[in-house]
Amino acid sequence: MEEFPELDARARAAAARLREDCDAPIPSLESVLQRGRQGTRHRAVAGAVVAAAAAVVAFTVVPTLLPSSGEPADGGPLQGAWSIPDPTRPVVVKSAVPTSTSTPTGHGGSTRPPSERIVARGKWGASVTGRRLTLTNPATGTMVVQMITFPEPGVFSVSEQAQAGGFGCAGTGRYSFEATEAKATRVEVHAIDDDCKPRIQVFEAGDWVLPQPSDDDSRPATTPAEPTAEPGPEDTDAGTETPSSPPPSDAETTASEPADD
Amino acid sequence: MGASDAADGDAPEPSEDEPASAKEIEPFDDFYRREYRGLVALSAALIRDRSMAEDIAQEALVAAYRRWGEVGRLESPIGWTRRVVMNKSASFMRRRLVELRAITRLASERGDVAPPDSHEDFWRLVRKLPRRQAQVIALFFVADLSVIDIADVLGCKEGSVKSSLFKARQHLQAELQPEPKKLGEDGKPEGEGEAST
Repeated sequence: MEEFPELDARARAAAARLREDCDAPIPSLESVLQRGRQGTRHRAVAGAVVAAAAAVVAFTVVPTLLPSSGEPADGGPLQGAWSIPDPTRPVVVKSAVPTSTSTPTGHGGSTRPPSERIVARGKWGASVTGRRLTLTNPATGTMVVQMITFPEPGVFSVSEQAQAGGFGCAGTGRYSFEATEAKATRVEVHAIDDDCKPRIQVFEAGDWVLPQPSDDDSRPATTPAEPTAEPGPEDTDAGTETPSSPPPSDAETTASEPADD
Repeated sequence: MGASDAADGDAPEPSEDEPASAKEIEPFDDFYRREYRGLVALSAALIRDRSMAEDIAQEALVAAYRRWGEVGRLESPIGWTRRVVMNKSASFMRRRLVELRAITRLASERGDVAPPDSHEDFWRLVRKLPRRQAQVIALFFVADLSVIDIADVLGCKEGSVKSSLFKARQHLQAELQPEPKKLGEDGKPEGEGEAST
């Protein structure tokens, strides 16, 4: 094999640095497995959700702001896991992406046509990690992932990935948030500008409750202490029906496609 | 691991042609602690989002745990798990491509660009390679695997790995090559000496 000494040296240095950067504490196996079980439960519940779609509306928002896990928490008190204590009213959500039932052999997963309406109601949890907001409704196994930014104090903007479904809304929504109690344990959220009705319904369903500092898990998005705020492993990028969404196929779809940069 | 293993989304079926009964299964907890960080690094080489890389590594480990009775008996349980990481990372890259481009564009417009970092620059270039080449580079340098082992993880032939590795290195070398400075009329690189006037 032809040698590329300079390149190899640089690659090895970059790899060493990458490994150093990934030297964070290893989460407990328990927490990781718990998360895996949650994902399984989500998928199981999803079948029932689809069957009873007319009756159930669930909505969860997971803000995912992509890069930099160590990014400063410009969202201030909204970083971490929150929950909403009051059940939301039924929320109608359009799923923009086809969903599939996963099978152990992957490629054989059967694809359903895009869901036109998914409804869910119940208590929601939310988790903010960096710029990613994940809303989950464990009762129905519903999850919505949004990107969240904080353009100014007391204001956040949310949007969703074009391909992932979410609420089925293309536009960006702007919301104000304000702590309503000492220690900022309860937060009122109000829409400033959003064309996405289901998203508004979810955010304005009630005051959001932030965890007390002592209860807070330092890594809520990956090993949440609170089940309501925990996305399942297969759910991360899917829309509201993530529990039934198949794990992404490893089919050779983008062999020549440049990656994430 | 068989090269033709179909993947369940991202988790390949443990191959039947591997010895399954003779090997003593390692406690999963030991496997988990030993391999966790390496799997995170492997995924992080292919996707920029570190927290997502952790998620992917965890998902792969959960997948291994669920089938540990089979996976643990494979000749290379970590090979199987790395393959899950590769698949999940590729899936993630595919889904996020459009979004990341938009974010990058917006960040550039706002001047909100991360400071230059030579190692991150390197991985940024790697992520722009065709998927298989990027995977090969990550497995070769981050996981320190041989060509044979990479072929095993990716389920392809050694020749294919060598070819991908060569093309990837060739491409990266060209990209990383400093551009030759243009010479001015005085034979010196342009810009030199101008500041003193």
